[in-house]
Amino acid sequence: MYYLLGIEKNLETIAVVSKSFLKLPSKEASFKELKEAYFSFTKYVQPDIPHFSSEEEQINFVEGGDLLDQLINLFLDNNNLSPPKISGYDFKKIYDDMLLKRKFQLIKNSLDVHKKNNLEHYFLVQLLFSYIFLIQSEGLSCATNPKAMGLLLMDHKEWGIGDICEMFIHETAHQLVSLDEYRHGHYLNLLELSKPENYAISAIRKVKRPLNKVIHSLIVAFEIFAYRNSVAKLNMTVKVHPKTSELKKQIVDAIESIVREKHLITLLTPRANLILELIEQKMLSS
Amino acid sequence: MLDQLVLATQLALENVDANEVKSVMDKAYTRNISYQPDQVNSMINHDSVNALASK
Repeated sequence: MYYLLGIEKNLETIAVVSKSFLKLPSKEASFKELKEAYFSFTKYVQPDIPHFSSEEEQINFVEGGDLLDQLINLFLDNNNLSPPKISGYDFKKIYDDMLLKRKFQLIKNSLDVHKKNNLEHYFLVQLLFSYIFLIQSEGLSCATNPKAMGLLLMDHKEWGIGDICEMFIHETAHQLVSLDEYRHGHYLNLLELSKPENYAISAIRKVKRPLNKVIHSLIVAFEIFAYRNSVAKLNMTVKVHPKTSELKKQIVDAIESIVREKHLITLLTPRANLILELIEQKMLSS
Repeated sequence: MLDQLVLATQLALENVDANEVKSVMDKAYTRNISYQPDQVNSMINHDSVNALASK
């Protein structure tokens, strides 16, 4: 959404959802107050997420304790599965302190690189995320949950800084899409989304998925595509997403899978249709 | 520079339409994205993506 709409439109959406929770006049609000107002909104719509109040104004890196269990529980497929699963993949908690410290340092270094590459996007990452935590898994790279805004789960693998920066782009896009949905609404009938006849091709996974997931995937894929075009020097080392040429094809295939099925278009609000058209236009001109 | 982004956010807050804020807050539960299918936005490893797509 950042590359699709620009910083001002995204700040406008954050302002609309945060305004009711701001404790000071707008002109007096520091970053800390802005962040607290935003997280008061997320707490309002999602009461199960842990309350966030950071004295340091930064993202918290959660190494263990009850808070880590609470965060992991919000991502579990089902509390009773053994071994526990997230999106169908087995996972384990990490107990190795040295490994955690090393991984968190790499993520902090990546944030510094991200700040140098794109200060506006870095600002959005700092504003929209409250907690980052690590797990071990075979299939996952990272995850966010629209039911638990602000939480970023990352896995323990040996990612490079370029990969982690793309994860920030990927997951921030999900957060911004969800906020845009809260502001404008994207779907005319939520019950229709889970019907297989209303599936389309995901621009990230290349398989049929519910329409809401496909719209998210299109925006995420476009954001990665646009990010790479703006920060070309990182392209060579990134392995977390496909090559740019493949990504471009996946975006085109996903758009086609929606527009060729007229009934799918009728499930989208004018706002979601506008987003689809914007991506189409920008891809044509790329 | 970050200060400028804080200022930009303050400005956005100054300029929001109070009617829109009320409307968005009123609809926040009915528009609650928690009801959408497939909740977690899991980003799976690239080799897992290819394995899925080739099924």
